[in-house]
Amino acid sequence: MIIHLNFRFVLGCILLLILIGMNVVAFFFSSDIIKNGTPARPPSLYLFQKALYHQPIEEEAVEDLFSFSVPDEAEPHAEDLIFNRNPKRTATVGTEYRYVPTSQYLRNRASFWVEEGPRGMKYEDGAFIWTPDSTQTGIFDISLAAQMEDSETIRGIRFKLFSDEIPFYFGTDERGNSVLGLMIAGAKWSILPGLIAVLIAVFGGLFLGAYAGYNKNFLSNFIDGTTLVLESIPALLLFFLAAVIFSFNIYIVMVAVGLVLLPVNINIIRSTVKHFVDCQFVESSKEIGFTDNQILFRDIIWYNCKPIIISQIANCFAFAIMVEVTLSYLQFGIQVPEVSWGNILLQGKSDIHKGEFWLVFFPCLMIIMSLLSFYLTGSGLSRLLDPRKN
Amino acid sequence: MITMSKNKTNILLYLLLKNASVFFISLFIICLLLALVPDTAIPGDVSYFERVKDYLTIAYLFSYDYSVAGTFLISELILHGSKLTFTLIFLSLLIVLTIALPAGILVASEKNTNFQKLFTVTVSLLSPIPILIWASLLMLLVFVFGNMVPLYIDFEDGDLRTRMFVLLIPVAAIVLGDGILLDFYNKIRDETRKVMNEPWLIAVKARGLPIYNHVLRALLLPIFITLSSKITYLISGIIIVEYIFAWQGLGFMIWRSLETPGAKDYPLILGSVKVLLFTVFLFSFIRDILTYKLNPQLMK
Amino acid sequence: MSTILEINNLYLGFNNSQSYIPAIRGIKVTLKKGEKVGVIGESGSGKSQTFLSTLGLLENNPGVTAGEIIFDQVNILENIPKYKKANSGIPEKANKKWIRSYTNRAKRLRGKNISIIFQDAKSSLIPYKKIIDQAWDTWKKHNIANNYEFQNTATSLLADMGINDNGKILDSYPNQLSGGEAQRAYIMLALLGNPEVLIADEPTSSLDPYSSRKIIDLLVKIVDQKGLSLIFISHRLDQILSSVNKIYVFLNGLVIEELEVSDINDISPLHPYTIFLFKMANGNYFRKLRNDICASSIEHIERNNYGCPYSNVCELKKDLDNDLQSKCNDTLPKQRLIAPGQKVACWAYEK
Repeated sequence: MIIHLNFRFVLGCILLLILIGMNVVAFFFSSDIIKNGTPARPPSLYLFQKALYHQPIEEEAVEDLFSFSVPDEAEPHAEDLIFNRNPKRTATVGTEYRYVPTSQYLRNRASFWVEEGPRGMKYEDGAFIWTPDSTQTGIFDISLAAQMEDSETIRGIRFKLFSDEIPFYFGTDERGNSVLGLMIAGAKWSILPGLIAVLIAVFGGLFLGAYAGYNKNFLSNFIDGTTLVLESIPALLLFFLAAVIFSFNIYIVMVAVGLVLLPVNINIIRSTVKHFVDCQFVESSKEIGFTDNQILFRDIIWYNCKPIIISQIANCFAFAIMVEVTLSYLQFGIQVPEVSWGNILLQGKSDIHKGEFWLVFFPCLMIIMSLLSFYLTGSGLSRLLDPRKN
Repeated sequence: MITMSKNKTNILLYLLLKNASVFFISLFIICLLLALVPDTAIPGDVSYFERVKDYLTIAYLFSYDYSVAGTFLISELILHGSKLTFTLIFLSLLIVLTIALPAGILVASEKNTNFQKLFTVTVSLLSPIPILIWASLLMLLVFVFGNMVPLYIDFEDGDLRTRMFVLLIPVAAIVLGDGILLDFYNKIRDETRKVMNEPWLIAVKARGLPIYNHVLRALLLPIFITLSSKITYLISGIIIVEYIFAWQGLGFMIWRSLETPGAKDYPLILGSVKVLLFTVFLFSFIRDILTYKLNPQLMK
Repeated sequence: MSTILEINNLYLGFNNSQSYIPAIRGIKVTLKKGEKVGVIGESGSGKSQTFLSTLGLLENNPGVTAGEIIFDQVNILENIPKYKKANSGIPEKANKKWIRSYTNRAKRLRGKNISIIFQDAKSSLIPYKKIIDQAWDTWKKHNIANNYEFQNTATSLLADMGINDNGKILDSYPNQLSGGEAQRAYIMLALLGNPEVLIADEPTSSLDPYSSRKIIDLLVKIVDQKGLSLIFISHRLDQILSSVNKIYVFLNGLVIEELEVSDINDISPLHPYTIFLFKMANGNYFRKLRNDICASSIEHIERNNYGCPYSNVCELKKDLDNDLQSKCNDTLPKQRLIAPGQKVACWAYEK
């Protein structure tokens, strides 16, 4: 039946498995995931730090207290910088921290030393190295200096170095919580609340839409009318009110999400059923003796609506995730002691001007990944099962 | 339910009644739900039904003047807020149309060019990302590469150039997010393809006449239907869009009123909700009329 | 009489990235001024595609790969790039620049020099405009915008077609007209630009027999009255036999026979397939035609990319010697003049 799997479907399944894994970890190890360290520590991967500190580091001419020479340039030009590589700002206890300040050519023609730094940091063989031991954790102010061999001025740089026991690959937030742990802990709101919304929206939509399409009595007109009304109420306002009335219980909000998604599903199923209900085979099946339910569900819906239902399930899950993130961002959803991706986005938004992008970037990445997993899986699976295209 | 009577005014009246009743019933439901909101400033002996009656009179009878929170007239606040809200919505939809219309028509006229594949893949990759995420990422990018954060405050008293700059990120986030561009592009492309394959268009071509005014006329109805559904979508998400950029429109005022734990500004909430619901009503009414008038099958 | 439209050695094919599927394989059609020509063939034999390609309406699907189309001494397919082995399969990417210039040249002929009438007239008319508005648009494009002359011309054309109360047709929308009225309205639209050639692409296939007869008669009357040339494409030989001067028979993208039918009593088709068609048209009348080589059935004709499309069911082939038989299977036959006014594409008639 399925000869070769879709690329989309495979990719979506991989992402979905990652999401489910994060969920499982979040449920079983709920309190231990979030490790604590120095506050506002950047991610350990050098790639992310390069993005942050993308200008060449500010080098200033330092007055050496013990020499009587006066610095001859106020600000060095870019070509004259001695420290022309950005230092890494994070270090881990037990692993070596290594900073090569300059290229080979200048390395031999200048001398470097540590002006102000933690115990154990020294310049050796072209690089500053340091291996923090277990007592050396925290934020260190580092000041390094250099002097060209043919010049009297001493140049130096200053930066803050974060040292911790665990390498925080995604960084930490203002209180020192590891962002990786926060991401995993926030994942627990992605699948389970969505399940409630999906059950109400898709299966409710299936039965109500099938009934409304097949019969033409007062009840189906009533369903049409309520569909119209539900469609036109602004959805976010409804979620807001649900959140405020039921004191921010996310599961009740998901019931409201299901109700808001119901009209779309009802419309799709109803239009498909209406399209087929006038066909000849319905009358012939009735004459043969099949009951209405059998004709409706076995012939019309099972054959035609499988891909629609699957892609609607995926879309509803994705919508539920987005609603949860939006409400947490607006402080109307998951409240602060509990962790959610929207909460962290809110925290991170106010820190952007300080340059701490990782609190915004990683939640966005996680949200995009979880949305994509549902969209890709849903559309890949519905393409595979579409009886017309196979 | 829809009895196709031949009387023209009958159908118009029916559509008007349908949409207006949806408007009033939605307002009623919102009043019902609003009365359930816990409010510490209301004395305990006020019953639920009294609250509902109070809000219903505010909503349907325009019987309020001053905002609870200050000395501003409700009508002034709502006017100011709706100007901002609708600037945002209509400007973004205008930009979406200017991108999607030429792209869709161009892509449908030529088959399988590299430009078509590139454009389709790019747009469908960018589309599942919701507006909130686009907004955060764009603000991040603007800060990282431009070293500044455009604040809403500059919008009020700035000249055209600062206004354009402040509007840039919100409009870009709305245009790119939530599949709005993708839906318009797909719809225009599919409808253009359908029209291009119609026998009468080929006959028009065979007589040597230009086809583009016929194509555009056939696209009018589908574009308007998509437009009205996207306006409904944007209005239902207006609160979050305005909150991210601190844009003082109707949604932001609703959020601020609901956030205060004490006395909430019910006239303001109900007024803003009325304006938003009225916009939805207007667009769906016009859409129903146009479907009736321009529908090729329903021609007499 | 001078030749007004000439199609020489035309090759059309579907050219996608995997393969080249030929649709028309080297046909030759000549049309003189004032001549009426019938084109007969099954569905899928390429008759419509040949004549749509003169106006550039094919949208490169299939694309023109070789040949000449000369209208009034101007070759529309000028500078056609050479395709490698256009008649047998090595694909070559279509040259967009040439296609654009060919389409531009063909566009100048549309409506003004060559007009086409389509099969279903009701769906060929613009559904949301009145007939008179459509006619005005067409008139404006090809003539000086003069309302008085326009009204005159439209009324006289409709009168020629037997409609005297033309207000009813001119003021209505296409879906209010009957099939015959719509076809007459479309013929009027086609003639507003004063074309020299009128191509009728199966115009009566969706009409009942009485209306079909009337439409064919009035087409012949108008064409004779105005001195136009007519190309009548159909798949029913009996309908057009009495109305045309010459018949081209298409089979699988090839013109297998071309004969003049001015005098019905004096016809002698040579190709088995043609004989079969004539007998199908009126078995009683044509019973004297050669029964021995008439095709017994045309069900088993296979599409053959290299040789004669009729070769696997051919009765004539059995009498040939072996190397000529293998030539039937491998090489496409060419149209050769066998008798005055009669050309056949068949290796058995080669001398």
